[in-house]
Amino acid sequence: MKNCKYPYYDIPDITSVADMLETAARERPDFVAFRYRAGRDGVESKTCREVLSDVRKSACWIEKSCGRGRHIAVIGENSYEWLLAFFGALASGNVAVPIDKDLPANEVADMIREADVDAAFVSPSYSDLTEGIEGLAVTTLKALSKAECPGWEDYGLFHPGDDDLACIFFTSGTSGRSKGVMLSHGNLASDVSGGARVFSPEGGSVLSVLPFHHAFGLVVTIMMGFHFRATIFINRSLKRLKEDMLLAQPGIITLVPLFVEVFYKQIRDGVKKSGKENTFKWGVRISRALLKLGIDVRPKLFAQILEPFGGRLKYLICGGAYLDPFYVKFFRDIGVEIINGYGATECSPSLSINRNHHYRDGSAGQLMPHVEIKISPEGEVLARGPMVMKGYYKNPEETAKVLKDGWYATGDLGYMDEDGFLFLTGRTKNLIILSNGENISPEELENDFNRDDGVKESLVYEQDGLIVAEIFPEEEFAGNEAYFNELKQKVNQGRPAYKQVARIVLRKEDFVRNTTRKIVRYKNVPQNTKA
Amino acid sequence: MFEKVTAILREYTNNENTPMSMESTLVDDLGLSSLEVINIVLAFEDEFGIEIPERIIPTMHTVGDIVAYLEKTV
Repeated sequence: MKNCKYPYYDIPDITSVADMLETAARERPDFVAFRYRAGRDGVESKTCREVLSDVRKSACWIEKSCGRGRHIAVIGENSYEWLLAFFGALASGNVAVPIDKDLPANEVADMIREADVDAAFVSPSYSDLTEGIEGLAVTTLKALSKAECPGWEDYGLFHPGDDDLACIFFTSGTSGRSKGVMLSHGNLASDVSGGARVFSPEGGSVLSVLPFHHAFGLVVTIMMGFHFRATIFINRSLKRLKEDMLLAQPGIITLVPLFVEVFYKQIRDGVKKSGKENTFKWGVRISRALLKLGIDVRPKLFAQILEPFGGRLKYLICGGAYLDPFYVKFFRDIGVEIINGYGATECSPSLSINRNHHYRDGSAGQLMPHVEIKISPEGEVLARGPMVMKGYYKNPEETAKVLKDGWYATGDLGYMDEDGFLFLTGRTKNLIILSNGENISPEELENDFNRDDGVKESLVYEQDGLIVAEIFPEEEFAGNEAYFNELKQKVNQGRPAYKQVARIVLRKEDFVRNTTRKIVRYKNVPQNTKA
Repeated sequence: MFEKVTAILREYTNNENTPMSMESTLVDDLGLSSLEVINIVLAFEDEFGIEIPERIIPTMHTVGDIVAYLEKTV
């Protein structure tokens, strides 16, 4: 199918989790919705009908033991039981508060207090995290999944109003303390419904690897996947990722750029070790040429390369951070399309996505149904629609900073092209504002430098009114000033004068980075500069 | 133990000359991502015939952390 515009898929919208589960159980009762490892070597499957029954039992038990309108934390590794606690909380008229299991106990306790949590469902491996928290009723996820609730068969799931609070996700954002993002049932329903209209699994199953306490891992992978009618295999532990890929044979994996980079390295190293680098390069050339003629030989040509991923991988849905378009091209060459999307927890989380057969490389895709975007005079992307959060929990000051007249200020800079694709160019907080009032996004220039083979990493800032590009070169290019001055000319070509790099600084050592290997901008630029 | 640990780590850093000490950090000094650290943990499990709980992995920041854990467990 050509890369061009096509209508939305005809999948009816949902109004809530209860609606999503009941509709699926009614329309496709025997369809396997979830698969996961059970015991040492077994695999458990749950049909849509079974999922509804299990959630009904959980919701019945939760309402009987906690009541309604309570805040219920869910803590633990990804599992079917985790989902029963989350769905059970929502379907019993309670508010779910997913919490990161990898946080230290004191931070977990802080979040539980900040979110006014009354009860918690915790995986047995993480039960110490909630020990000693006063007034907190703790139940293990295992106990919930086995709990008996007489009369559960007649339990009516809670059907909320759009504006009713469904969950509180904690987001660390890029600075400051974690904030509790309040998402309503309407927020979740709008995102899930929108996702199923723009993306089709095309018969493939989904492998879930991202943690459920993140909106991307839960709302996009699980809820959207469930609603767009794919079987979802739950990977419980990243230690078993390789085995699970072989077992699940996914057509789709939702992930963040880190996974894409690691998958790329694995493939590259594998090709290198097998001594087939030239064969691979030729294969890519031949398949590209044939693809132009409408002949797709990639599934056969690169079958061996894709075997470790289960052999059926077709789509990687990627979000959460910037992904270099290089990876998109690389994976397309071997027959895997990276579907790049964009969003924020505050937007439930999806705002835009490239579609299966309508995409622009380097873009964050087209807007999801119901999403409105406008670009502020400063170039910031503002979003409005039913997916925008209710606000930060008990934090009106922080809410007021990002929500104005229904528009959520994303903190990202970007623009829309004439075909409706959203392009992101940087973060507002990194914007360089020159004395003449012109604005420059350093990331826009850095991306151009980073694409060059000689550049390991770059950082752009303003010093004394001039734009400086500081470069940490690849080893074989170290100290090669002539090469980088030529690169500077190349990057400057076609750019207005105020956006042109005036000076190159070559580094001998890597930039200062944080624990996730991200460059810490303010620690790397000389003082008295703007970056 | 230090030699055994660094020998496995070197396979993943793709650079035999990467200097390693007990204080070397896996992410900052050896340039490994959190996902690669998980793969390395699997290699340690195979090598030493043990199972390392997933909760332990985020506490392994340095080569020394791995050595200390393995010395205690193996």
